[in-house]
Formats: sequence, structure tokens, C-alpha cells
Amino acid sequence: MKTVIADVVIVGSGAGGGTVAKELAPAAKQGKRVLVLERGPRFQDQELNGRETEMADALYLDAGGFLTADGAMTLAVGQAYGGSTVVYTGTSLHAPGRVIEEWNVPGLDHADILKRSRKYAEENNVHSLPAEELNDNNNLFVTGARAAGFTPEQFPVNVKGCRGSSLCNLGCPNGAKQGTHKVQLPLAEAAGVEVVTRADVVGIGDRMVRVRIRPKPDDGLGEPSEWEPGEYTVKTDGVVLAGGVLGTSPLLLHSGFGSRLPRLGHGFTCHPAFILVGEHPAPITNDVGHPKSFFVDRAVEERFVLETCMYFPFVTAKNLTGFGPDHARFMGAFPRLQMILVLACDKAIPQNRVAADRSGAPVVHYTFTPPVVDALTAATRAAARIFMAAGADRIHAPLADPPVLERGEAEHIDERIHSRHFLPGTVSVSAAHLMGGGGMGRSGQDSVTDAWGRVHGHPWLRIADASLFPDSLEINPYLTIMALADRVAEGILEEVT
Amino acid sequence: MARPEPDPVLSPFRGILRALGEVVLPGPNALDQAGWEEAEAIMEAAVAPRPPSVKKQLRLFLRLLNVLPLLTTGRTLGRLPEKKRASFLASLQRSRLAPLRRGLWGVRTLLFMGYYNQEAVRNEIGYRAEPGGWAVRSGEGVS
Repeated sequence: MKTVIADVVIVGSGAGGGTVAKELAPAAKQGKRVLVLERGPRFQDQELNGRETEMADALYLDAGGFLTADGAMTLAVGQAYGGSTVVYTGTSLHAPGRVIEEWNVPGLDHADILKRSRKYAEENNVHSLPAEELNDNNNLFVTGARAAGFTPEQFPVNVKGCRGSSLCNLGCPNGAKQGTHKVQLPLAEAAGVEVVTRADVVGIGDRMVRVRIRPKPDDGLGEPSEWEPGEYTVKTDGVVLAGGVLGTSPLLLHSGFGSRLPRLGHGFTCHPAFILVGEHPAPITNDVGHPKSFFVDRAVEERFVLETCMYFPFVTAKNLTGFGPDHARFMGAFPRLQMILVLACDKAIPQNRVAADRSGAPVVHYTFTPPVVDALTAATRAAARIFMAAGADRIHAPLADPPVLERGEAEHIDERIHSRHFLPGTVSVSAAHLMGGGGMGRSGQDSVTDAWGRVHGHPWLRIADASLFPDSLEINPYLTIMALADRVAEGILEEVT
Repeated sequence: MARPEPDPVLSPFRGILRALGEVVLPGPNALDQAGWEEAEAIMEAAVAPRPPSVKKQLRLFLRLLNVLPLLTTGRTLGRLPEKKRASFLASLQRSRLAPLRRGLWGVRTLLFMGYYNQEAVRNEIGYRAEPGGWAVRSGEGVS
């Protein structure tokens, strides 16, 4: 066991950890040792080849197949230098004021989050793509949504030099997506922050972190770790946990913090989602161009959000209900498919929480509540209307049985698509917006941290990822994670410089 | 091409998987011998890193899936005619027992993984995404 001394240790290098690392650059320049420990490897852009299984295996926890405890939902979590910012689509929205007010965290106000998230929107080149770069899949969503009475909005995205590979969720092969792997981490490293990849943090104690460095597999992608493989103890004045929702609270629970922090692991939300496809009579551009350029926000009125999307053949096949010739007919029409992702704005409830098993691995308990099922049903009906209005001949809707709706059934959408068809284990539900488990609040009785990410009762320990969210954000979370991480870094800088 | 697995989980169930694949995939002849071998290698590679408990569950479920039709038809899944195999799986998909639904979901997911991750299949369905994006699609970037 080797021992390393550091002033600050950051666990995780995604939207939260990468942001803290960059904001601590002034401390690193002053000679403070700032370490970032990242579970995933560092990839070269040219290694990101768009091959579905190979990339899922390299970039995602459990190859993208991490399941909730009851096996009813798949959770997508990136593992790489840059965390999930390597595999998201770069959609960058500001937190809604009403949500931050509902969170009701003393010392946290919307104006402050907005100010900080605007800073990162600028730093990470967030902007709307020009009309000539939008593909048919996105444009049909706009046409259909307007015709069906909805108000589509364009996603600002953080790309620079996007070539329209459509492969965002498998890592951009062109280095266009401006995640923390392209912006914050290189800036941090240039200032002297050390990033150590292939680093599994297996336990934390009082001002101490235990780390296991994995060797690079002989035929694996990515670079070897910056440290020799083996076991390390890092002694430090401060620890920032930013390993994501499936990293932070399971690590704390496994390390024995649960007895003094009764809310640890609680408040889990994730925007449960699934895909609908509509089949058009003629080919459209769908697997070229940025995949996610528009959304319809019905969070306030009906607790759902619709987003354009385009997935890869296996993920699409997995998400379509059923099998055999009906299923194959949709898959065989791939060049004519329009896709919409429907997301429910779930609320934190006692049953939904993150835990750790004996080995420290995350376990997620999730129950689909009637409001969530109702939201998914309303979202599915709305998406079906958009497809029909956009000219689709047939629709695959997971909440219909049988799941295929023909154009002639447009008048029967509400009858055909119904919550009674929501069968967990048959409908493929997935989520990528994992939130909660280390929520902010007033005290150890109602939360895990204060409004600055300081863990109650442990002044040396902070959280700086989406675990901090006391409840669902109801939009894509990355800019808000960065804004909260910025606050965490500010608090550390006040102490160490 | 996926790596061969030294301690295979699925190869003892090759017959059951093929019987399932004949109704889950686009048709009984969706894959030729080489295609099946590629699919099996992809599936085996996907299962290999899973915890022993998951592998055990998968083995158990495949065994169960094969014998369950005995109760209603007197035949194992592998011996059922194709149409009856399909209707048996359809009934399982709507089962009131969540573990049966989830198990079937897992097996069909594996089969789709083995099938739709094949280059020939992706080409056949018309999937064309590639790193070059717009430039390649319009012919400008073809090298």
C-alpha cells in the first residue's frame, strides 16, 4: 500500500468533478496538490469509433446495462476522463426558477445558479445549431409538434466543429462535444491539477481516501493509468465527491457514513424515459446530424418532457416492445424512422433510493409511481400526435397493446395508449439523468449537505455532483451540476488559498 | 468480432437460444451458421463480465424457459413448432409474474445485441451513421 499526500482530492471528473478541478487551478498554481481520481480511462478521439457494443463496453458502467434492483429500468452512466460529459448529447439548459424554489434549500437561490451556469454555457461554447445543420428527424419533430399544438424549443448544445456524426452517445469521434474532457480538465491539468484515471475509490475515512488503480487490459481501449496499478492511501485536507449518483452515496454508505447521515442515498430521481418511433413513407435524414436539437417542455402542465433523439440499432431494438416480424418491420425501416424520447418528471419518494451492496457496488431501488406512469402515458400520447402530424404512417408506442398504431388510428390515440399497458419488465424504460442521494438542505436530519455541498458534520468532505439535487430538476442537468460544483470550488478556494 | 469466452455461460444453451432466436429475430432464417456463431460470440462477451449471481440467474432462466411449455403443451420450448413458440413467448411477455417478464426481456435483449451488432445486419437495415457525418453522407468526405 503506497501513501500519497494531497491538499484536495476530487473523486470523479465529469460535470461536477471536472468543474471543481478547473476552478481549483489557482490553488494548484500556488503549489497546492489537487488530485482528480477518475474510474474510467482517458480516450483519444480516434478510439471513439461509433461501434455500438465496443463503445458501450468502453464508456459506460456495466456496458450501459446497469439495472435497478428489480431489473425494470436501465441506468446509463458514463465512465471516462470527463465522466458522463463524454457520452451525453451536449444539451445545456438552465435550471428552471420554479424548481430551485421548490427545492427550498436555505442559502441557494436561482439567480446565483443562473449566473454560474451562464459562465459555463459561455466557457463550453453552448449555442443553438444553425438551421442548415438540423436533420429531418429534428425538423419533423418541430413541424409535427407545432401542428399538434405544442411549442417546440431548440436545445442549446455545447459543440464546436460538429460534423454531424450523430454518435454523441457513443462519444464524439470528432472531438466536437465540449464536455469537461475538452474544456475544464485540460485547463486544470495545464495549471498543475493531476488527473489519475482507472482509479477506483474503494473507501473514504477521516481526511483519507483508499484507491485501487486498475491495469489497462491487454486488448482494452484508452490509455493506461497515470499511476502504477496497485493500492494507495491518499491523505488529504479535503475530499470532494463527484463520482455521480451511483458513485457518491454508495461510497459514503460503504464507508460507514450512513449512521450519522440518515438521508444518505435518499431522494433519488432519474427522469424515467423510453423511445417512440414513427415510420415515414420515405427516407429521412436521421442517423446523420446532431441527434437532439429540440424539445417540448410540459413539465409544469403534465409532468413530462419530449426530446428528439436518434439511437443506434441495438438500443433501438431493445427499446421497441415485442419481437418477431412486427418488431423487425420497424427495424427494417431504419432510414425512415423518426424518434422521440419521452421523459417523466418524477418526484423524490421514500422508496426510491440508492444503496450499496456488501462490496460497495451501487444498488438502486426504484418504484414507478402512478404519477410517473400517468406522465409517461400523457407523453406517449403527445408524441404519437406529433408523429401523426409530421406524416408518419405507423407508430411504435410502448404503452399500446399491440404497440403498433396505424395512421388510421389517429382518432383513437387516447384509447390505444393507456397506463394499463405499462408493464415493468416488458416496457423498456431507461434513464440517464440520475439525481439525488446526497441532497442539500438544512441539517443532517433532512439532508446530506448544506447549500455549498459541505457534508453535515464532516467539514473536510464535500459533494459536487447531481447527488446534491434534493429532487428532480425536470430538465437536462449538466449546467446545473456545473453551477453547484462552482459553488463547492469557491468554498474550497476560500479555505485553501 | 467479440473475443471468445474461456468459461462460457451461454454455449450449453445454444439450442434454446437458437429456438428463441428463430421467433425473436426477424425470421427463422435471419442468421446463417456464421451469423449465429457471431451472435453467440457477441452475447457471450456481453455476459462474461457480469457477476456470478447474474450468470447463475441467466442459466436458471434459460432452463426454466425451456421446460415451462411442458406444463401447457407437453413439449419443451425447443420442440415446439415456431408458431406455438411465438405465442408462448407472447404470453410470457404479458405474464402477471414480473420475474418472467424481466427474464424474457433480458434474453430478447441479448438476442438483439447478438443480431443488431453485426455489420451485415446494420447494413441490411440501412443504418449508416459514421464519424464523418454530413460530409460523408453528401459524398464530400469519402476517401
